[in-house]
Amino acid sequence: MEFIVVSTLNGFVYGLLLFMVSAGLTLIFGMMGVVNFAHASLYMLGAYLSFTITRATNFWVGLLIAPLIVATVGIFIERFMLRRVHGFGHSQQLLLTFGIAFVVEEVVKVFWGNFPIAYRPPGFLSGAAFTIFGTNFPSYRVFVAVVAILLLGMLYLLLQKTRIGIIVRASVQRPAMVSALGHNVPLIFLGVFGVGAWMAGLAGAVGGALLTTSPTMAAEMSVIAFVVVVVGGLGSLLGAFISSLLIGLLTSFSVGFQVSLADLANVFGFGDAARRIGGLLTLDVASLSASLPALLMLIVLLTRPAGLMGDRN
Amino acid sequence: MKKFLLTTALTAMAAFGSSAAQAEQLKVAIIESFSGPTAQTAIPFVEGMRYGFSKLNAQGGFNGEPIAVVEYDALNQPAAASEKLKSAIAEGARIVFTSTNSAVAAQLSEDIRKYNLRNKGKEILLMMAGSEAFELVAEKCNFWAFKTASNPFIRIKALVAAMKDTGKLGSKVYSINQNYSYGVDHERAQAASVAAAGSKIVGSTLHDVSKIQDFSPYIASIKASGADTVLSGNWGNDIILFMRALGDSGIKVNVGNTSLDTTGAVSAMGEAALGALLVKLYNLEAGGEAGKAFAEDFKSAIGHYPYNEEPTGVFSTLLLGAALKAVSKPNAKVDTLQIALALEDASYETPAGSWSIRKDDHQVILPVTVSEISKDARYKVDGTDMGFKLLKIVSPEDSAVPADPKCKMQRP
Repeated sequence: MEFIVVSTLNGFVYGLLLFMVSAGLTLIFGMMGVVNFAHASLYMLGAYLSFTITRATNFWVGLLIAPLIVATVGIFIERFMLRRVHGFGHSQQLLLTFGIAFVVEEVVKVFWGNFPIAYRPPGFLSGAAFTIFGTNFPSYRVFVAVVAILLLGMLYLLLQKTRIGIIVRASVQRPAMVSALGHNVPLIFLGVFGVGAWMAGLAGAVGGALLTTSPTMAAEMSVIAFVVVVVGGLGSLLGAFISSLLIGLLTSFSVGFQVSLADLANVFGFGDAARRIGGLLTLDVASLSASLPALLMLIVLLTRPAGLMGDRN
Repeated sequence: MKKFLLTTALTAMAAFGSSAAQAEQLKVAIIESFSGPTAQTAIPFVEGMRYGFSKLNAQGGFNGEPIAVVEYDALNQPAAASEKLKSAIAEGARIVFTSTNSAVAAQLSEDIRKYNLRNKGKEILLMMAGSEAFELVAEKCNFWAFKTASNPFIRIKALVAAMKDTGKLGSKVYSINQNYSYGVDHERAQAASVAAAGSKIVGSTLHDVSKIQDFSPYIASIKASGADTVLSGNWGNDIILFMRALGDSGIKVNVGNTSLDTTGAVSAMGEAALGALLVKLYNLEAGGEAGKAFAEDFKSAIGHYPYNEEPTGVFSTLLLGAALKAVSKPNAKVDTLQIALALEDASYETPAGSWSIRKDDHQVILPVTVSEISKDARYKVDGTDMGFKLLKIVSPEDSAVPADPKCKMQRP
């Protein structure tokens, strides 16, 4: 029971943080068809900027300003870089964002150094929110979850209940028609990219203090964010939400399972034989924990190629 | 034009003449990851070597000539390191230093073994200053390669012994390590040392390297096992995130680790790190006045107190220096076989104790320090009010583990 409750809480919080990063990624892909390799770099930038601003002022100012700066960087990238290569097709866009990711990493190393920095939760959020089965559940984790849920609610209202949302959704489906109706489609794309970058910045500002803020954080987050987006269905916000939680819970639960294929074989009386073969058969589920999302992605791609919530199933 | 040709010829002759009269200069190549994610771990070793070689050159270099040191970026890839070795040899390097990545060290060791078989009299010598993998002195041991790094067995043996002596080793131990050769070595070393100390391993996990973003599920698993002590060989983000998750959970366990002193780690972990134990080859508080003098001299040369693996880089270089001094003759040629044989007999006295090479497997026999993260430490780190307080120095004899029988060294 203890294991289930604690693992669920941990998995839930981690999943929500994943959602904050991957929401922008999937939104940008859905609207613009751009696979943005620099998205996790914007997440990293959010963490570093928020750290610096927090030092100079306080946590809330950092949380407010850093994502806005990242959004500005995002808008700059869309307006002056992506738009120029838009006509050349996907591979050029992909290579461009890939290059930006390298540049951001090196810039971060130049300004903040090639080591982790001391970005930690602020004092008033560093205590325990509640104690469960003798383990403290940190307030900061609760805070991360609240921020992510607020973000989800805001996105839903924006896209489903406002006029802007209708235009945005329409320009995804029929950009030419929306343009003919007198709407400025490039401006809409610019806005979407800005909002996507803003969300990555916010995720960085919040997640940098929860995890670590170091020059490798972008590369580490990038892989898992892409897995989330692919599993959820490219472009689907709801899919990204479901797959974030799924992956959060999957990694959280699998860690506690010290079970291998050999143990399974034991049930049928082949345990010793399997242990003698060794290799894959004696590998614990727990040690595969970080690889399970990739396995999940493989299964989803084989059974539902467009992802859980993808349009093209 | 004629005048130009004449001057060129004269200069060339002069250069030729002078080089014949002078000794052959010893060239050293440092092949290490200067870029990419592992640069963070590699740079301290190199910083230490730079200091070490400046000391050797200040003492007169080798054969009456200053030692030339050239740095090459191995890009953290064995294949790239192999290429860099070729160019280093082409440029005349006779001694190669490498430190972090054990796969790179294994590649260089194998390349050098083959090169030396084919190039008698022009052999290359390899110094592995931080490559911890045990196989480098076991099945992959090589006469031309010297390992001036510890390995998980040496470190954990010292750590567990010191923890037992200071009452910090509980009866139930949980072992958490990274899932690759180094982590697997650690798991084995921890199991052996804990059993020898009379405690019990109640759980052990291997997890993916640098991929886990959230360690709280592992903390839940540790709590479920009822462990009172955690041993880990994790480095980089994997130990920072682990310590933070542990601090957040409020669970009280003793922690023993090998890499708590990476630059930035203490400040990133914050107060959660207090009380954790670190096993390291050197601690600045060791050796009284000699230790203080070393720290101050390093600071005046490099700009900060020696930290992390910088002392390892320094002592590895100075141990080589002791061997060089024994065979240095003005105006002689560089003979790496002589240097290698001298290195087998050399020893260097660090403030914490003596470093020497064991002939059987070319493993360095060295003292090991165990420290605690504390606010009482003499040298504070990362701009925090915390540092590493020396608990115990384990002597070279006590920290040594026997040579592996799998090492069958081919001597020239």
